[in-house]
Amino acid sequence: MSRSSKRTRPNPRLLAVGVAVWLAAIVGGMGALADYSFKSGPAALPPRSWPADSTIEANQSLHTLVMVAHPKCSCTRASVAELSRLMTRLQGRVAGHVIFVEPDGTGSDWTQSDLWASASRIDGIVAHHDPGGIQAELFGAKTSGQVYLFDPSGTLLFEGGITPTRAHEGDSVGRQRIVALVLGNETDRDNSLVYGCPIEDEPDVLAQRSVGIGVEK
Amino acid sequence: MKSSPTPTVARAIAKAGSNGPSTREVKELFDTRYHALAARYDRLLAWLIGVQWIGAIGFAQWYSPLAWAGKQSEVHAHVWAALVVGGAISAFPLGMALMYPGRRSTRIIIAVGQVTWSALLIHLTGGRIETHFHIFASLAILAFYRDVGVMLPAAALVTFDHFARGLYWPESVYGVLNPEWWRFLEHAGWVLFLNGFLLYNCVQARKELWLHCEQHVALSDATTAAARMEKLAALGQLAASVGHELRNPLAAIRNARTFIGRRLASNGEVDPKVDQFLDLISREVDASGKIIADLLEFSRPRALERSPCPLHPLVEEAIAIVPPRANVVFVNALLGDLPVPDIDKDQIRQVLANLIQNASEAVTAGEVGTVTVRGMAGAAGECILLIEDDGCGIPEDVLAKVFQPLFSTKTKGTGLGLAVVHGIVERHGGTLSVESIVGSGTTFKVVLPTHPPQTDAPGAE
Repeated sequence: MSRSSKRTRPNPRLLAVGVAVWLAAIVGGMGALADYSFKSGPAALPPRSWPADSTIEANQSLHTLVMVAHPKCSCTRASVAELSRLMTRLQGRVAGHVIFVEPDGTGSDWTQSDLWASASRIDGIVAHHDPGGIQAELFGAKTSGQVYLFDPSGTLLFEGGITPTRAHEGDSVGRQRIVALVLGNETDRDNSLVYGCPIEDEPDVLAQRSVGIGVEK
Repeated sequence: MKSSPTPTVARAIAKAGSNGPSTREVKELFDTRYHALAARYDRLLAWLIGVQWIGAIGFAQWYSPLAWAGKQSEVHAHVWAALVVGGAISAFPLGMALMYPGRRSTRIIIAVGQVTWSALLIHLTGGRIETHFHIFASLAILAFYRDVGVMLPAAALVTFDHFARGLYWPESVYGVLNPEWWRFLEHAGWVLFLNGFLLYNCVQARKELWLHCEQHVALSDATTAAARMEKLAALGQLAASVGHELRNPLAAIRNARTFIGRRLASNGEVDPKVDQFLDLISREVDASGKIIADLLEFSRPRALERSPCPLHPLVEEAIAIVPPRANVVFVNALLGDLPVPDIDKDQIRQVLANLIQNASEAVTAGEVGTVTVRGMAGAAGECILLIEDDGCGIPEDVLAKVFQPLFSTKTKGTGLGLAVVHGIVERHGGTLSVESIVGSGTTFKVVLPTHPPQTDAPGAE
């Protein structure tokens, strides 16, 4: 008797059932993960122009990019990575600010995260503490990763997100539109969804996040 | 046909004049070695998948432990994904590697699991371009299997994943909402670019393994043949010496017996037991003479005297030589259109008589049996003779030794019969093999070339 015939052989029927169950579990799991990734954050209520009460000064000669971020939101790492790519692409054409929200009851150590360090390392970006979330409220931001582009006159040109999905790096319509606006090219879309953690902790915000509301103009 | 409680199939082959290792032996060795290799890589990949699972959980816990809403937090979905989805991806390949190592189904499942892990890791790291290298690393690791049947499904799954994402979630892989329809082909092209070289390497590696097995079998055959030749040479010297030394004393005994018999006969009536003992001396001296003849034939084989010889009448002659048994029927089933080979008629008759007698003796006393001699022409025109019996069969451990000189299971056997037969067939440039099923019977197969090979075995003619 040959040695190979003594080797254990899986039951073909059980194997087929096992493969089917396994593939179904994988497809289901990856589908749930994709569903999570597609869930965008609450829509912003943006100003039409640079908020006059803001303590952050708009650049008078360059376009100005503003990002509002939750300092502990790991999903916003993807937004900061995309911001870094944008700033590199538009070097010398834009000035940038990242506003890190410090909710009431938290101190400056709340913002001391790797996100702060990453944002601070980007050339042309200034990181800001935002005690009480006052600046974020002036810009109408609801979701971490919310980005605004203003022209040198302070007019809002763009608001939305710059990642393709939640916590996922890569090219996006938001990034493409910002580049086109700064370079003076035509754009085919004027908005994009924002993916990230809600900045505020109201119960309705948490509920909204689970439903997923896109930013539409 | 007799019944056996646990019949076993045994097969042994003694080759003579073979041109190289048999494909069957090489394939068996190849399968054994490849199975061991695949089982080893199954364990390695199982470790890798297990480490990826634990690593992914640790990474998610470190990189994205919590999802926030203001000051409120909860466990991040990526932690759950690493734990649950990662567990789902890993469990089946780990189970298959543990329960069925070395099987193709196991390595295909491992390949699918490993490629799926690439997709999950890309998710968990936020789509970092660096993590996409995991796909290429995985394909390279899967190439360890040297199995095209593993590499193609893995590449197909990567291609399908890109195609499906292009349809339903293009941002996750192309970063834009409306990519060109052929973008998945661009991604798949790079995968196929790598896979092409890996497939080439797989094929080459399998060829090398096959070649290695061929060389191993050839070396093993050569070593066995060398050891056998060495043993035969020593045995031949001993047989020649013993035969020569015993022949003269036996001749003296035979002469003395004849003399004593005549003298006693001339002296009138003697005790009847004296005649019985004298007959006993005659029989045993004749038996000793036969043994000595075998020894001398074995040690100093006669040169072949080839001539065209039809096999059907030769089989008849061989059957006529074999002592008949009441319970055994001999059947000469050779067809008349067989090729007529150039053979040494006397020696091949001896081969057939020996094999037919062995077949006859395999039929257990008290049971009726048949010994059938069949013949056919081989693909290359060679003559194939099958000597079949429906006797008791030969156990596997005995079968492996039947062609060894001095090996015998008979109480009065010298163990030289099959060794002499083997030697004669070998000198004809033929092969001798045997298959047996315990309880069902045995078949000896003699293959003789129709015409003598250009270069005969040493000392053949």
